[in-house]
Amino acid sequence: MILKPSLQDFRIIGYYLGKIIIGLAVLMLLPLLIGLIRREFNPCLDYCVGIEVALIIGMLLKKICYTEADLNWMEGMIVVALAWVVAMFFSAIPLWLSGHWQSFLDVCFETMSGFATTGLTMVQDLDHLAYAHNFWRHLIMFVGGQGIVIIALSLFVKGASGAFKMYVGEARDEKILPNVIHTSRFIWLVSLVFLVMGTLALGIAGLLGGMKPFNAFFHGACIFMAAFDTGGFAPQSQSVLYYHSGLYEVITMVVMILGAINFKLHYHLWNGHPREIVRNIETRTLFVTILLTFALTGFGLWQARIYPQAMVMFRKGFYQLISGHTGTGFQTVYASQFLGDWNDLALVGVICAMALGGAACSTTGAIKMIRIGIIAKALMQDIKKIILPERALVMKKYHHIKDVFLNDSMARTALSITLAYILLYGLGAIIGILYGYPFLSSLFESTSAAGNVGLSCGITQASMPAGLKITYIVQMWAGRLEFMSVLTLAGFLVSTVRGK
Amino acid sequence: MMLPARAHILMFCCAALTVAGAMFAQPCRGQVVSPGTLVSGAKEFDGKEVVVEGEVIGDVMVRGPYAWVNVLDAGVAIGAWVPVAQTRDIVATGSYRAQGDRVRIAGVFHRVCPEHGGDMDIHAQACTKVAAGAARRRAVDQEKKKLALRLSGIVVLLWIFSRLKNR
Repeated sequence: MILKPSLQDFRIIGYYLGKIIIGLAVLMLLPLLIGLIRREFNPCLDYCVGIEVALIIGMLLKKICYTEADLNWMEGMIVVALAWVVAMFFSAIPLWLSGHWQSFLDVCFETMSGFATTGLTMVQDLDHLAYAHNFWRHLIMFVGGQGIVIIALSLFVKGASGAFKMYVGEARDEKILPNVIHTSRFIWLVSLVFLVMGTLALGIAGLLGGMKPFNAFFHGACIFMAAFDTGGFAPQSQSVLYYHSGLYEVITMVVMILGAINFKLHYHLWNGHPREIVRNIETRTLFVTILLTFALTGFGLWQARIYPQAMVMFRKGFYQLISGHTGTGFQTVYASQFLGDWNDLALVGVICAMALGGAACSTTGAIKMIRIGIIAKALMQDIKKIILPERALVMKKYHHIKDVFLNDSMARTALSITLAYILLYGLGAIIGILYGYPFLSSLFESTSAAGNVGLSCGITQASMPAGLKITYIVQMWAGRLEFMSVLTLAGFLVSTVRGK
Repeated sequence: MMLPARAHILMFCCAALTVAGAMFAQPCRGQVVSPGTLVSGAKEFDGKEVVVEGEVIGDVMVRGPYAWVNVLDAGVAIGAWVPVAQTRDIVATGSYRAQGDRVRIAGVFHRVCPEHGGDMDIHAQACTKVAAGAARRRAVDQEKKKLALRLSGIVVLLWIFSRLKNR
């Protein structure tokens, strides 16, 4: 028998959503400030409207649904799943008022792409977009990379037990510190310290590259937020190609890799344990998968004979591959070059890299290195079991901060999530094919959306069918939250309708 | 049967026009193409002399004796490597507050530029301003202003209501 959710369930969910919406309103003060500094008065009004709408709805929800009860597992998961949907709608309001998007669906696509750190974009005339709006696009990426709920946890949530349920719902099942609120604050501390360092490095690179001082540091901050949060938005329509700078490419590559590393690993590095980076299963797997996928891409590019010099081929191929593997989506080639100049093998290398992703508890999406590592270890364990005598006891362990013995349950969980991602990539590709796009480009774009990458071979644009836009929005959302909270929400909706 | 002289002249003109048309149909020196055409037809234009017209966007990034000028037309932008001396006329660059100068750049198009890490770019031989840009005067949107004021009233009322309830 399916139980119908109680009124109390709805009240708790509404109350926490109200808090998160008010949090979004507070966040919108930052682009408003940028607008005031740059004297962009119409964008300032856009943010005033956005803030006010969010405050009204947030305050009403908090008032109507007021409760002191703590979240249970189901409510925590649903709050997280819905938080991403309401964040998409409310953060879209100021952008929609700017007139740079063709429809509200396009703006929702943009904001979900931002929060999910995907980087696929629908903006029109980006090169004339206001600083305030450009900053907001990148800020939502920064917030989404850390996790929308992480902000709420850091600022608004008092009860540690409810906080942990929301933390897990946002696809972060690893606590860095014993208390989840302290963990959230540590994640923000790391991100803010790197933000200052990254902005300085990219700002100086911009100055050396001939940019005006304000633009150099503004672009530096935006590009850092998009790179560290493995997002991929850029302030100009040419993405990183706009800067025509090898130094910029090197710095962004370093930042992308930093963003793809587990925050737990950051914690150990900060505490003076550099050996952990060499021993950790995630970094080892990342190293191996980068080598393997680049072997495919590199061989494909060599076959295609598009790049006359090895160094040029490495620079273009490796940059797009790292951008894809870390789930960032920065491009130093035009979208049409993927299909026009690169051959199928090179594209398959990038698709595989996009599908794999970075580390768990990082800012990346997709399958993630810990799962790939566990599956590889489990496979080796099974092969050993077959080869060795039946009586032999085969134990396999891996190192992730500490030594962990591999068991069947771990392997099954890793395999089921991996399978869910592969299904999600395939489903999006089939829908793309149904809309008349070729197989490889449909698979490329679908993997990019579901893996929260943002590389595009040209399908994503304002003129694409609305059904495909909605498909990609759902893929970005489900892919970022790693299914569990989205499936819980689906179960909750079913029980609301059919429960007794 | 002999054709009249007028018919001969007509046929000659037609033939001349056909040859001229065929010549101009090839991507060659002097033909103005958009950045979008260059990007989508990169193979065809690779290594050829082209002329691009568009709005200068972002910053003119000076690097020694040359500068990067990014030129936008019909939603697609491309970088041009221009001698600094030829960028002196560029005053306004495209942004939220300004429509950038419109320039005509003649140069060699590279699908994969070996000098610049494989970027798709144009090495300019000449860069001339064809139209001056201008500041974009954006009047405050009165409808938005009214909406913001009305909503702020509701926010204040809700806040007062919540404070009273709490007491």
